[in-house]
Amino acid sequence: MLNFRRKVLSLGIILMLAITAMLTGCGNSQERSANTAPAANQEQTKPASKKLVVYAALNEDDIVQIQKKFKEDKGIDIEFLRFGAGEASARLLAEKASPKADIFVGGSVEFHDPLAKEGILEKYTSPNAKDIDKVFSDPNGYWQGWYMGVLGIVINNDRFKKELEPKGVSMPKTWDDLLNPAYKGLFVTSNPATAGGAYIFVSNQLFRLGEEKGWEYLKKLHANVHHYTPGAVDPISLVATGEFVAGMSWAHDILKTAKQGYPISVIIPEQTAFEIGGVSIIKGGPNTENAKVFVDWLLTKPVGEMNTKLSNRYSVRKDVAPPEGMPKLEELKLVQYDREAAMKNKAEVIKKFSEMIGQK
Amino acid sequence: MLTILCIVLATFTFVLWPLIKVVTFPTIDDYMNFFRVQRWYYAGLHSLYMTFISTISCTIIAFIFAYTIVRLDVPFKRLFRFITVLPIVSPPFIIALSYILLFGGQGIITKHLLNIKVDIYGWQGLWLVQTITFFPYAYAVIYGVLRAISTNLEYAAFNLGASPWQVFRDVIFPLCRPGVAGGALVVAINVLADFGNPLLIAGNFYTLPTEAYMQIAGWYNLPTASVLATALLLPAVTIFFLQRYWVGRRSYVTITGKEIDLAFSKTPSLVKWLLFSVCLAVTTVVILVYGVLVIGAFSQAWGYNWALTLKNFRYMLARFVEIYNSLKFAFLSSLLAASFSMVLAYIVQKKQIGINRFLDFLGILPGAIPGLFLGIGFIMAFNEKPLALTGTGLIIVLGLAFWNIPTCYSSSLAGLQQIGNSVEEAALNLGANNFRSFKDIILPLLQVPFLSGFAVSFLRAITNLSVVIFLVSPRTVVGTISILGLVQNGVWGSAAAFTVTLITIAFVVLGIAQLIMKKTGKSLDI
Amino acid sequence: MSLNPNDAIIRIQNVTKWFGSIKAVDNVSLNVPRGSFTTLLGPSGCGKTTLMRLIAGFYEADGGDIYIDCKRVNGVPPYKRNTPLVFQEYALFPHMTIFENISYGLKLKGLSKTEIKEKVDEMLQMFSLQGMENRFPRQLSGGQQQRVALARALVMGQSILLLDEPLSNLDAKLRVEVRGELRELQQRLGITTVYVTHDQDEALSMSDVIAVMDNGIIRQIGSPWEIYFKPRNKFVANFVGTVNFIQAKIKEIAGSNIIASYAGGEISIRREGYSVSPGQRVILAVRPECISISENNDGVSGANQLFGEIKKSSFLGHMIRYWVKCREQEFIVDDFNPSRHGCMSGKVNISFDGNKVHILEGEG
Repeated sequence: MLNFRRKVLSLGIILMLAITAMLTGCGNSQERSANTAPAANQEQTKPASKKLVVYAALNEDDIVQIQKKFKEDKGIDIEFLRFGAGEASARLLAEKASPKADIFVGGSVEFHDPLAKEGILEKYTSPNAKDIDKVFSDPNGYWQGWYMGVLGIVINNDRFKKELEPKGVSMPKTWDDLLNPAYKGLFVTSNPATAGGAYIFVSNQLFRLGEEKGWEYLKKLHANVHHYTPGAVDPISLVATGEFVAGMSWAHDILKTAKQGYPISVIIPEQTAFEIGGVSIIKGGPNTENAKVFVDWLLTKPVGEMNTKLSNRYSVRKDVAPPEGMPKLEELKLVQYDREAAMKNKAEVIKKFSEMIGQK
Repeated sequence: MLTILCIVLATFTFVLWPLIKVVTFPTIDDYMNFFRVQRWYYAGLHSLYMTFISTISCTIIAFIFAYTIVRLDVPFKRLFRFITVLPIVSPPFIIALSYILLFGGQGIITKHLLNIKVDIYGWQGLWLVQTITFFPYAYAVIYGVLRAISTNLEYAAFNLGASPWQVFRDVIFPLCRPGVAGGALVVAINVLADFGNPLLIAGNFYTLPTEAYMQIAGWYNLPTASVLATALLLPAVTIFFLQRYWVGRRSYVTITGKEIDLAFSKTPSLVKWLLFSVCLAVTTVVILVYGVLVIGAFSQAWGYNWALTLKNFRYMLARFVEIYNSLKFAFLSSLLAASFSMVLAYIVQKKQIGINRFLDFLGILPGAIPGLFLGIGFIMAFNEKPLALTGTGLIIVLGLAFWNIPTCYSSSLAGLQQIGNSVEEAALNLGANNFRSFKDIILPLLQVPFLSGFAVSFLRAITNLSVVIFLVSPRTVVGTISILGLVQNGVWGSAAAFTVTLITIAFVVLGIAQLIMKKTGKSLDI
Repeated sequence: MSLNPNDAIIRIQNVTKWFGSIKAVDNVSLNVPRGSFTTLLGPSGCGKTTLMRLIAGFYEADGGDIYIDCKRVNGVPPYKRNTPLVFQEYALFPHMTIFENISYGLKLKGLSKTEIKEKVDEMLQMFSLQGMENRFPRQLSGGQQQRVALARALVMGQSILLLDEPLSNLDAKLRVEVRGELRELQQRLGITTVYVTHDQDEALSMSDVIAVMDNGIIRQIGSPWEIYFKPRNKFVANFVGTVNFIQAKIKEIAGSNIIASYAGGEISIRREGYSVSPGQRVILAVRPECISISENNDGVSGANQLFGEIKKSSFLGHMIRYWVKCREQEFIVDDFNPSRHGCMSGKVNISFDGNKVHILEGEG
């Protein structure tokens, strides 16, 4: 009985083996690339590999454009994975033991800085950084700012004209204009508990008005908020399709959607906050030499111009013109934003904010 | 023996081990946070509440659909059947965009057609979306039970003097109660684990899966994500066990194999057309939702400028690799899931080896694990030696395969149950050893369940986001990940184009599977 | 038909089989003579199918030994036992044609294509299945499927054939027809056949040997005649045919007759074969057709005669069955010559033939 049962089951094994064979076929190609990578690393002298693995917290088309141009300029192939900055950080932390990526590009430096403290980043100061304002470089040398984004207000022109103008409301110019009760139920923004941009917005108000008045502002604004979206960019589409009249998000993303033909305008209020978009090299990544080439390349003027054109973000280079439809960097009145403090207080602020908005 | 060992080992490694990893990752303090942080506590309540009300509404609509399709003589029945397949094969979250466009504050239906003011961003909106998205899961179960009820029984009741309503109340409904309960629980597990729809439509009505996802995506907080995922796992496992051991054993349906040529008794006209209009209404909504998606894929600016264009598909060309990856991983994982399940089902059903109940349990256990949980578990469990799989295609294939095993396993098991024991014994009796009888008799007879299990797995895999979202690497990005990115970046037109392409591929695969089945003279029921 | 055990082609010795806590086969011993048609008869759940499956090797015995052709086969897997079996539901392979079904066993044996073709053709002819070889089982009628199942078993050319209620899925008329054909075929081929059924008519009409089973044990083994007329116990008497039981006590043994007394008087039974002693309580078994019935003349019951009243009658064409109440007991009486006096009613006399009353010993 045992004997023939064994035979029956051997068929199962054959099946499984066949599948395993197929699977290892597709698994192996991965292994191979992982194996060749450290070898290239050991040579050090010459970047033997023609590859670069990038974790990108950028818009899909931005990174596709970078991939294409980098190949043209330097002959190196970029393999990228696009996700949110938080997710990328989570991934980098998880892979600390055996890093799979070379570069972490995009996402505000608030996400790069903790990674440096975790010992995940490689120290590197690009020779091209000398043309750039010191504010945009990590004093410790782990990350480098390469673009800048500011927070803005998005307005649906059609609905604004139809519904608010008759009430005598004019286009908002400041953050305080949003407290007008006319916006009640017509304004959307994102939740600082889930969206990095929303946290910068909250800190923005606290820095702008001071602790006490800042919270008062947020409470008043809360009365107008229809709901808090999970992602920072989510409000834009909701306003663009006319679901809501006004929203808060990144100015460059608003502009980008406007250029698709939607009837929206972007307003950059006084005393707005900004993010510094970072790039950093992963320690022990498979193609560290290429990563350095990438950082140097990213800081050049042509690349800055290219990225500004497509993504509508400000370049950190003074010699790159501002994005079309945006004021000059010097004309912006930015809030005094204490990045260190903002990072330190995060947990507490979010807790307080969550309690303030309650279940909403 | 070796095969059994392999199966047990594989299930332990790829189901239980990731599960344990996630549950043990956070500290006690992290767990206590769940009750301290109001938001998560409420997320838990929201999830349970939404699961409860959606389950009720899904089950009612599913029953109406099943009843109409099985028993009523009304037009559009083929269309109704098609409608019940659509939501199953569509990628999550993108559909929510269509709902906003149709039912939102400026919605085509709500504002321009009906001119009513409703707020879709909240539990009511989510309820509508979840009901229409998940009722097909209950439909499939109820349909099967309803169809199997012998017409003799209702005629027997009529014969004893029962009115049509009494026949329904006393005979038909009680007989399909196990199916209704089973379908309801399938819905419950799916609604509970869904995070695509709440992400976009729930407004401030946040749920556990969205919170868990945002904890990683927004703040790379793995311990908290694990806590939330575990909080999600508890009710899921509870529902799962309810289904297994409370409903699973109570089927009154006996398949006698006797052909009954009595037609179903007639349903009163009024009731009939009432049920028909409910189906028609739901069908209209589903068609509108997908119609909007298709039109959106071909228009200049989603929801604003409907001028036709192909520009949204340009993006697709650049991401050809991702579609190829989607297809490749879906194919391999479905093949693995279907083969693994077939061997497992064969051992459970036909071989008395003492641990049959346990193996059966392992076969269906992954059904209780939300995809997001499985994904998080996989990155935690297979990031280090001895099984350093993160970043490979293998980890995606394995993740999707084990996520799909319950589907394939059930269909293989059902197929095996239909093969009388004596058929295999006849082969043994004629001199075939166990291997030969499996190869010559069981394999050919399991062709249909194998293929239908494979097809469903394939569709589920190609449209899956929850499992793969944390498993993809630069070389193994799949289509749904891109769609999520496009939605998040507000490029909804391209997202719609990508989705339409994926759905089309899914239906082509379904069509091919059906064609193969037709050739062998059988039909594929999904 | 008593035999030297070594002549038995299948020898079952003290076999026991448990299913969980249920003893399906309980210490059963049975010899199946070479070339015989042996039937396992019993109600459903009596263990007859289990016993057959033990022979075919689908189950392993928990105790005891099974020998086939003098070889002990315990532990030998079913595919090495050479015991072709025809299943109750035929178990034809639904995905194979008729030709493939019949040839499957030969293919496994590794026979050449021409050999297979030759043998299958022979079977097709024997069972009038020519022209159907390319059809699938579902395209055949029940009777045809049954013949395919038989052909698939017989084509193996083994000296043993196991049949598990093969006629139960046929309609009544066909069943009687096939019964005769099957017996004829078995005798022509001289193949040792074990036949499982719950139908006494099948068992009586086809068998050389019948083993009556109940609750996992064999209650009696014997020829159809023995089983019918000399049942060893109440169960066998009752299961095979219809029977009247009479509680009685042995009064005396008078020469070649045994005199037994019962509630209705005394009855004289031929002594041969019985070892009873006066005073012993016994049960008498009388078949309905062994009682004669006549219209009552004087109302007095004499020796082996009883006076009673017809309670009910049922006309079956070739006979009339009466339910006759005699004092406290009701007798079933069959009158096989009804035209003689038409359908009777009211008071009647019934009488027993002393040669046809059977004593069940040890059942008092």
